[in-house]
Amino acid sequence: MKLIKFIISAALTILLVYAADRGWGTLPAIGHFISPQSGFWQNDQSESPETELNLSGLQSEVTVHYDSELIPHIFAQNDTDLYFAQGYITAKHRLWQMEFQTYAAAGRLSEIIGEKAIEYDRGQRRKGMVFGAQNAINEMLQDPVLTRRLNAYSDGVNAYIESLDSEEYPVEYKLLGYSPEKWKPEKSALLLMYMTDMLAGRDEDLENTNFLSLFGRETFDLLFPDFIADQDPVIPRERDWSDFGTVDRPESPEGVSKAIVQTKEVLDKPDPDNGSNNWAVNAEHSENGNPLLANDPHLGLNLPSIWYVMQLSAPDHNVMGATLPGALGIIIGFNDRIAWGVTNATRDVKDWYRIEFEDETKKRYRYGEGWRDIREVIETIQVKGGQAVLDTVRYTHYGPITYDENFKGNGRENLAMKWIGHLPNSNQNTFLSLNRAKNYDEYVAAVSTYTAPAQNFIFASKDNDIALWIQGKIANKFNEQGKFVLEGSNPYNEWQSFIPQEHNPHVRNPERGFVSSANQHPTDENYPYYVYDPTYETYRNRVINNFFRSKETFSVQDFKDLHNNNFNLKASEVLPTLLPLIESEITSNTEGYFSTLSSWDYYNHTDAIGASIFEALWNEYYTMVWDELTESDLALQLPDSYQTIWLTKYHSRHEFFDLQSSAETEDAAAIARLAFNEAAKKLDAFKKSGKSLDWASYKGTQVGHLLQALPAFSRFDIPIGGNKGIVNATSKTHGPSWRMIVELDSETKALGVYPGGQSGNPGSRYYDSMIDTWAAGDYYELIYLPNSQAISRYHFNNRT
Amino acid sequence: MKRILIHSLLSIGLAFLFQLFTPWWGVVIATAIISFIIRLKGISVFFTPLLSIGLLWSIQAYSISNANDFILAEKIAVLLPLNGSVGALILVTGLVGGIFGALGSITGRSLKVLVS
Repeated sequence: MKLIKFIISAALTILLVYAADRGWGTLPAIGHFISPQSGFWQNDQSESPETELNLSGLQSEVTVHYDSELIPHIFAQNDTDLYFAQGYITAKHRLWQMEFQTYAAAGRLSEIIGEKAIEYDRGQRRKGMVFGAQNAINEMLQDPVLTRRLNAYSDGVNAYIESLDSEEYPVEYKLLGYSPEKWKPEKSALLLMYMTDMLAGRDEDLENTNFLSLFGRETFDLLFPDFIADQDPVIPRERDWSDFGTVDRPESPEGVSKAIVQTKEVLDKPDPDNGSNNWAVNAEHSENGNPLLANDPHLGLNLPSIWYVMQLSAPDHNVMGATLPGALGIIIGFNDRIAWGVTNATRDVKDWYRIEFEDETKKRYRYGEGWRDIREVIETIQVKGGQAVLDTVRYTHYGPITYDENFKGNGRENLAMKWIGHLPNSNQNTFLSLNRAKNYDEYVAAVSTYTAPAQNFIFASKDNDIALWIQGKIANKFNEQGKFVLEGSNPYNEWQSFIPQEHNPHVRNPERGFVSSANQHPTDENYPYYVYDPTYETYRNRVINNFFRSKETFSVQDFKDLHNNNFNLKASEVLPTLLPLIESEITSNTEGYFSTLSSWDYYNHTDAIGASIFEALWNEYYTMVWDELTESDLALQLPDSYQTIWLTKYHSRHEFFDLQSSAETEDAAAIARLAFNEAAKKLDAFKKSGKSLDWASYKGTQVGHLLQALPAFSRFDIPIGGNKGIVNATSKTHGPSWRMIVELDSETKALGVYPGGQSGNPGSRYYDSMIDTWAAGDYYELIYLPNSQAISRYHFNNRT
Repeated sequence: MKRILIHSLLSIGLAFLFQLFTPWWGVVIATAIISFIIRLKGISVFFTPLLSIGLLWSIQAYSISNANDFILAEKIAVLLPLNGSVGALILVTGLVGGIFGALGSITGRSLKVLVS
């Protein structure tokens, strides 16, 4: 009996300890997770700064000063130590995020979060994310200086990881029950690949091909024109391209069918709003007589934030700005001579080729007169709490066959991807060179080797140069090459060459005294190479450029105001057309909304109720106009807002205005009235739920944790104006992810803010400490220390 | 009563020490050892460590989190979900620690009975 008692109690204890020591489904290991000694309680603390790094692996002393927003100012005595310290400090504050993003890039999320990520992971593998990162790292490791820096960064990250006991792991590791793995230079390449996918991973070739086969050429050209009348391109229209002489551009092949394949299911695409603003004025147009530069990249709003702010100083340079955890150096920033920034220079850099196999073994595919060999890669996806999944991906010389009978597409055709993201590159070097650049020539040298994602690199210097290079490696295509799916067997369809780097559009010290970009068309129609992208921006760029044309000189305050400018140009261009159409059928239910909307000033300020009504109306209208496309079995893209408005104004009886679901034949006016009534119902329902109709409440901007916006670690209902298509591009989950203004005075002065905080720890007061400042349209002074000793001029860590 | 008090103090002390170098389940071994040495009667074998280890974990949790204005505790209390109540979270923490302390205690006691 005594023995039985003992065995039962011991067995029960061991069983329960075992059960509480491991995770169950989405539940964390409860004993481990809740224990004050090892679990999340250990993460309930804010960072305490350290001023000196004493680590094995450093060659000399490295000093780190943290300011009151936990921005580290790192002073090293050589660049190996500098990047070691950057890796160490970044990991100290953002370890989980930097690792998670590389897992996401590599298609390894199933290892962490289980089977729900399998489809995502398969997509990443089939996109060739690791293939691209591998090509990049192979290229980077050819360069001994870069190799040394990459290794130093890696060693720094690993020094931090090795210093951790498991109770010190970031809370997400405890929640999901795994441990950090060793960092390698390949992971830095994966992180850059993650960005390339975000910014140059979008294409609409399959949807274009579908549209063409369903609606024909004329309708396609009407709804998806390459250029639009209102465009205000990045490179001013005054630019005459005659200095290029006759350029070598491939001839279009004659009589080739473009509607060669119909596709039902495609991969998720990056957000089309991924974009940015940047602008700069020279000394003559600056009130203080100093060149000014501003940048604000628009990305998904996440915590931990995609950006991390640092000052990096070594004897040969001293740079400050925002960087991406996992990447070396500063990505957007300034030094004591120059400032630079980037916006996405979208271009169709991803094309699709239909592949024809020799036979069912799929070992060879047709190319020209003969056959080429397939390279088979068997991808193994490890799944937390489940069996590993194997997926065979076949590589052609174009790139991986993403869609085949086992993955999306139409369950039949084999479509291979050709993508600039797969090409060997040393993009990391561009940023390290920019960090050190002192003048225009060094800036041009830095950007000239950059391949992807193509960027509008804006530049200003104390020499009073302002410039903008639209830089990336861009295929020199024949007309419409890659706008639709291409026949892979025809060698003529290859990317035959690239646009010569010196012919990439650029502008230096233009007469108008400012340079700017906002993801619009790079040039006008006269640029002698083929330019195509389906997502060129049509509103922000005009507001920005009109502002700079509106007066002679500009101040830092003007720059702040422009970052926070809430003017809704789209609304101002469509409402004068829609309102009269709606007016004839106003009822007592909709009267109030109509009069508020009619008197709205087109500004999406936080308290504007008109902005909410417009948004509701526009969403209904847009959805009703394009019902034919959303209800199709095939994958299709909708024309953009600009083209929808254009159609409303000039083709108001186009057949697309007819609603599929009704017996009558509608035109734009009928749709506008229906949409307004529907919008009124939605607004009524919103009000009934107890919420206010002011724009900030209606929009409900949120900054979500990277882990599927885990509500506990996210911020909701942030009071901020703006919207997509507005210079203050803050929509519900997307917006200015970093705002920077630099004044190139004798001592460089700068302001910055982002919707997050320097710490990745949800338990830290620095986790989201900048969000309120960001939402209010305010900034922090970025304290640019000329040297480590200058610290005495500032009161750091003055928060209590 | 005195025995219960001594048992509690020793359990808390030993559990605290063990936690410095064992995983979270070190508390199980600590209470097993104390109950092996100090004889408790009846239900107090279960309830004494439930309260003492529960108290230890609650106080530890409270003091760590209090120093940081309960920033993370408030978030975890949403995640778990405890309606954002830090008090409830501390209580649950104490309860989990206490239950495992109690399980250790019963096992230690039954081993003592077995070998004596």
